Amino acid sequence: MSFDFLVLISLSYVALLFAVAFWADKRAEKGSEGWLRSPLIYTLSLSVYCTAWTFYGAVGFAARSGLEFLTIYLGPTLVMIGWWAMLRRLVRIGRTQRVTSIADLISSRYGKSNGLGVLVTCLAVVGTTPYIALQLQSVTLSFNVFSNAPLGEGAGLNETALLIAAGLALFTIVFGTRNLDVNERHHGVVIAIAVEAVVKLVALLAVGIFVVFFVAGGVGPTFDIIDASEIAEWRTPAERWMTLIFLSAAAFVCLPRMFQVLVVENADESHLPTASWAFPLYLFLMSLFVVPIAVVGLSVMPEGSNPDLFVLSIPLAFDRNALALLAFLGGFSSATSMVIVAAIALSTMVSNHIVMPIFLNARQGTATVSGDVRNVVILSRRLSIAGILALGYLYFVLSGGGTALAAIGLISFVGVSQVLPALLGGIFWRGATRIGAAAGLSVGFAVWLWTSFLPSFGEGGLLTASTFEAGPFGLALLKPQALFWIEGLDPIVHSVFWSMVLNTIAFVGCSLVTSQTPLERFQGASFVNIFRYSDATHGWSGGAIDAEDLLMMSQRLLGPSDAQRLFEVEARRQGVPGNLPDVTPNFIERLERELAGSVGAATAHAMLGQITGGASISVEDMMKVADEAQQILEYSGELEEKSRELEQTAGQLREVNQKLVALSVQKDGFLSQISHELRTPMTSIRSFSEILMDGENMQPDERRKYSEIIHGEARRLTRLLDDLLDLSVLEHGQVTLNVEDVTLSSVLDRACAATAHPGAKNPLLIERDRAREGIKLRTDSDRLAQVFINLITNVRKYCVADAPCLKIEVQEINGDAVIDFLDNGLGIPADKQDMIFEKFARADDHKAAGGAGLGLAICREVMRRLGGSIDYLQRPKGAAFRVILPKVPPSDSPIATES
Amino acid sequence: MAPKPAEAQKDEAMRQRRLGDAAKLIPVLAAVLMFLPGLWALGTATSSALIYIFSVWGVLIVLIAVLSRSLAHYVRRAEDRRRDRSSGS
Repeated sequence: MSFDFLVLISLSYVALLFAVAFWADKRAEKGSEGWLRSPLIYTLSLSVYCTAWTFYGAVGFAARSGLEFLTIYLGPTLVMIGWWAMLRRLVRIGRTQRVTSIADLISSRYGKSNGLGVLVTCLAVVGTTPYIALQLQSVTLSFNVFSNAPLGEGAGLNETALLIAAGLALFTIVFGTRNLDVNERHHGVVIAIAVEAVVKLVALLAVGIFVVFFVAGGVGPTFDIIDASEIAEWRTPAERWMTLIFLSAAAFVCLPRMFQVLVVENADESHLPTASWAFPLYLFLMSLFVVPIAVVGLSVMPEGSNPDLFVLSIPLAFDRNALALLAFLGGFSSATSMVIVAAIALSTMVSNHIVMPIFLNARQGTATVSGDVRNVVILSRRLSIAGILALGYLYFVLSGGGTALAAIGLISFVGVSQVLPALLGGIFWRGATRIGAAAGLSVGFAVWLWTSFLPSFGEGGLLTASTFEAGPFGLALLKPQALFWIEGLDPIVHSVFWSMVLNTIAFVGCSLVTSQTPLERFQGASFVNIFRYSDATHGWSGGAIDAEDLLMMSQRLLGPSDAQRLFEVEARRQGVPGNLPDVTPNFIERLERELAGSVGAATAHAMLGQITGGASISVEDMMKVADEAQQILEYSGELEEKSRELEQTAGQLREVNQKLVALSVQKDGFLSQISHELRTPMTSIRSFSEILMDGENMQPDERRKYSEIIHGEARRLTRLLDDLLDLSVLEHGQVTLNVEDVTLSSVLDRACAATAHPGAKNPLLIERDRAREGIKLRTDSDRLAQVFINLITNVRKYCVADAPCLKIEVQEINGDAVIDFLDNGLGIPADKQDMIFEKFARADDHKAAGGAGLGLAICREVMRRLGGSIDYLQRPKGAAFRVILPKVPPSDSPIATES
Repeated sequence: MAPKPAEAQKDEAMRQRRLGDAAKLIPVLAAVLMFLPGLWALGTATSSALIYIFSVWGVLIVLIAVLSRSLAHYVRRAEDRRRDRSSGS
């Protein structure tokens, strides 16, 4: 079989993968993924765990150390079997938090710290590079087996490796960065990987069956060969056996490519239950024939053959070219699938955590267009992929391709497993802090470099022989393969033990003494309590709440029938079949309100808080709480406003009430007054008329005097009755007004003339400014004069000054005539001012002019009828009345409708 | 689907709880069985070790397959509900 033919086959195979990936991508774009999104595909994609190291290396491993190679498959089996406890949590977190890589998960859990992202990325790159070199090496060697060239022909090997690296970089770039999916899923790549998974399983099974049934002659003879071989006895020490199982389990979760297929590419959580048994089965089948192939190879192949290549060389030795070709494609598949997924995972990490932050920092201040950034992301991914493969190639060239494959694999495993404490702490322990994670990762990374990575280059490689012998600078404490004076441990066990122990101590210790930022605390809660929020039916796991517990508590408080009805209604509302609803924050809120009705709000809150742990709360929930508080504030504000209004109204009512009481007192006073007023003139009229009746012999002047008294009293009585009548008419609106055009001065003249009292012993001086009185009015001049006369008469009656003086001031304000009557008397006391316009009110009790207290009440009624007003003005000295009268009556006043 | 009586509901919740507990404990059992060969005396025959390990492996695969099939029902239900919720909101 020629080398060129092999290249042709390989290229065709890659072309086939291209076609499959392209077709799957197209279907995914159309949304018709169908079985492409099935648990089977998910399980097969996990097979990137089985690299060329498994395909070729496991046989070599078995040929050297017996059953020890099985540890590499038992570890992942353990993880898959425990999917319910850990992987399910990891997958759920990955999907709800849209995690794009293991570095992203760590960074996001610890408060979106990019520093941690960079640390994990570096660890992953350093840990994965040797592994990529390993794949290049195995593919190159397998080419070499076919071309029958002598082993170790350096230049040829390197060229082949370079071509393979370039080809893989191209494939990865084309399918890994074709589009930027928000979820970082690569449908095409996953399908291609699944195809490769089938090819490598079929190839290895085919070789195994060939070896067992055609070369060895059946199962029994195979066991005989095993018992007769170099590895017939169990040689693995207990600590190495257990350490390797632990190590492969840790690596299975922490390897960037495994995290990519397990978590990032997971399309549906319900694929996990299937994968939990299907993937262990895959591993079972992959390792089933390893020991037979190894022992048969050891017995039939010539001394000195490379056991790492038995899978290829045995079929070739028996001239089964087709089988050998299938085996070659299986190995090729193993290597390419690992390199492709690892490169995608690493490039995502490098681009997201190293290149983009630097780019965005450099671009700070300049406006960025989103399409612009998108292109940069894609470019940085492509460059990262090329860079990672270049690094792998470089490592391959530098290491000379000599070391046994298994050794490199294990060293790589120890390196990436350093993420485990921070990862597990992050998803199970809320108290884990960023500084703790950084300390653990750094310590673990350093110990790994010192105890595994650097020694892997051999004595005289990167570390001198004296460092191995006596420690750095003669410090035996720090001997790379015997830390702390503990000698004799297996190097891998030594490295795993110290790196993990010191890593965990640093992580836990620093977490305990440092505190979290708010974002860390929040992320910690949402990671650790992931099922409380995203999936309430499984709430009881992880110490979260269970609808059942809530129901039990509610039954105790509300009674069984009420509580069950409440839960049923809620379940129906949520559309959940059965009687138990999901425990959503909304439901808890409703339940709390319901319970608050029977035990009080604070108690209900406290009881629910106890059951729900009262712990983490989402930002949305916090916003809701804040909104509610806001509403309560607003509501209480409204209440305050209302109570203020009520108070005001009550105050007004009190005022009115006081006024009513005063009026009632006044009315009582008036009634006694009026009876007195009526009775006094009647009494004198009756007595004087009796005198006149009896006095036939009375002097004429005496008779005239008595008659005058009777006449005067009768007039007073008439006037009083007139006034009462007048007021009653005015108040009931039955008055007829004679509207005419007059000047103010003429009305005032009439009033002054009517009130003139020539010969009085204390004459009233009236001061007027006639120049201002020329205002033309349209009003009832008789009624207006009546008001003026009343006011002037009042001054005459009540002004007690020695030289009484009335000043009449006229102004025009806003088109109204304003007439002030100001005297120089004592004025009216403040407590009486409110009352003077009421009926029967008198400022004082002395009835100087015998009025009944109706004058001002009549004035007010008249002014109202005329569309104006009359008020008492506050003045330091003397009384003052202000009459305001519109020049033309307003349209809505009674006077306007009557004219 | 008619709502199940409360007793059946309770039974189902209990069943799910027991299944979940079993699923958490089975890796412990698996680890013990897998670590066991480490405690054997050096020099035990590889062929019998091979038979032991692959038998244990096979049994574990069958066990987890049975358990996962039962649990898958709950996972799928939660997944569907989550999808409904996210598409509904």
